[in-house]
Amino acid sequence: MARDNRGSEDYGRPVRRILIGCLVLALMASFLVWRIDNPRMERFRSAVVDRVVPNFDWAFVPVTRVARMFEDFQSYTRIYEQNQELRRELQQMKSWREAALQLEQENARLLDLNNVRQSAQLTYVTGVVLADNGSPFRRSVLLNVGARDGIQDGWATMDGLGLVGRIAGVGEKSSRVILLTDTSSRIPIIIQPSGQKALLAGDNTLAPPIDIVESIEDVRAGDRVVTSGDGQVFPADILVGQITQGPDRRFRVRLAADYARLEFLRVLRTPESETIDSTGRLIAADEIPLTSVKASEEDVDG
Amino acid sequence: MVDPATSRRWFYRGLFLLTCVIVIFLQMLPLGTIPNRLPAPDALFAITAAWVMRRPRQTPVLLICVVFFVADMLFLRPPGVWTAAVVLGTEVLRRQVSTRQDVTIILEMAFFAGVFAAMVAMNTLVLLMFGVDAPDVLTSALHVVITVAFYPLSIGLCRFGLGVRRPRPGEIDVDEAIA
Repeated sequence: MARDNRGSEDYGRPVRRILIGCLVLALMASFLVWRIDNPRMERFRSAVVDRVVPNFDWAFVPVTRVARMFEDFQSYTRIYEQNQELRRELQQMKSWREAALQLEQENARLLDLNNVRQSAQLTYVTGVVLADNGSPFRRSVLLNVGARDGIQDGWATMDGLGLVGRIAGVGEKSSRVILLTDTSSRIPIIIQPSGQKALLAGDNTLAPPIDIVESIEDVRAGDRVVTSGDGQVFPADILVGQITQGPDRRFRVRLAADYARLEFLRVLRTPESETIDSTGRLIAADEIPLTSVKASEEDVDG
Repeated sequence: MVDPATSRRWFYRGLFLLTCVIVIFLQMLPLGTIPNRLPAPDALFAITAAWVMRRPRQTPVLLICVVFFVADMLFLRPPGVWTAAVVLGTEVLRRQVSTRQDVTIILEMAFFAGVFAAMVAMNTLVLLMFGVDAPDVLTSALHVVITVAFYPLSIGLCRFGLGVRRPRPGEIDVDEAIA
């Protein structure tokens, strides 16, 4: 009997090799499809995520809560230093609060003088963070709101204070937020008060560097960074963070959002945001007047 | 009535699937939202490798393929590349180690390290060839080192936690030789 099995195994080997080869080829083909027709494959991916992850909804939340409780418990060991630190910060905050109140009154007076009415276009949907992606090289989280709540690709996401990321991938019941720290994240920003426009480029660290600044010498550590409305990708003037300078003399942004505690996120409804629904079409392509495009096509034909 | 060896093997296949689902679930918990200096170990592959080297029949290649493809989808990796690397890597592990009976843990770790490094290199090369962003070399190297350091833990989990150990010589005919 043993010989019989051995025999069938020897017979099975070449067939097995061919099958393995086919399997690997099929997997590489799926990678090629992803590379060529990215939006469709990403839609498929968000459909898969949408089917799988909300099923574990009941487990994600309590397990996360318990793990966080343990973390909090650990932090009791250095409660004294924390208390001192908090007192110091509170003192600073009081002075800021005073300044903010004065500014608010001044602002209200000025708005009243100008008869300005602020637009109420920016409303938001709040979602709970279900899961992050388990890979060590990507930074994204999954929210429990999706297309059924009206979420669309490209909308900005913030916690109570600052920008967190951008929606990329919407399923029926879930949506994915690419965080600012992810290596593929690029956000147009303005550095205040100098008004420099730049890009915030994620690099898998907590303080992403700024890129493509017009004149770097006007940038100082401590400057405020907010989003710019460029390209209508994002609503303008959402707080991102503060400029700091790392040991490598490179300007980085210390993010205002609390990345250690991403629990509830706000997704800002942006009425007219650009959508990217096909490959090879840049956002700026729409800005070329149609007539000139037609003219050049006719030239080619003739 | 089903043959006991067969039903036992199917039980362990189910157990393997369940373990993988739990590992994926734990990795997706939103606790590590701060980017770390050190990349986390690839626990899913370490456990799969330990299992494959103990009981190759309990971890059929199709099951591994499905698990890792779903993980590719959930973990936001380019679909297929890492799964292909895993399929090839587990085939190498299956062929080499299942024929030997007495392998020391050091030898096994060295072997695992070699295969895993080759897989990471292949993954990076394919990604670079097609112009996809790949993690930089230093991070990948760290990832390999950390995963190899994690590997004894996954052996411990398989052997003591789940009772997956190498078959003794007499046991082979019952469990291993049935195709």
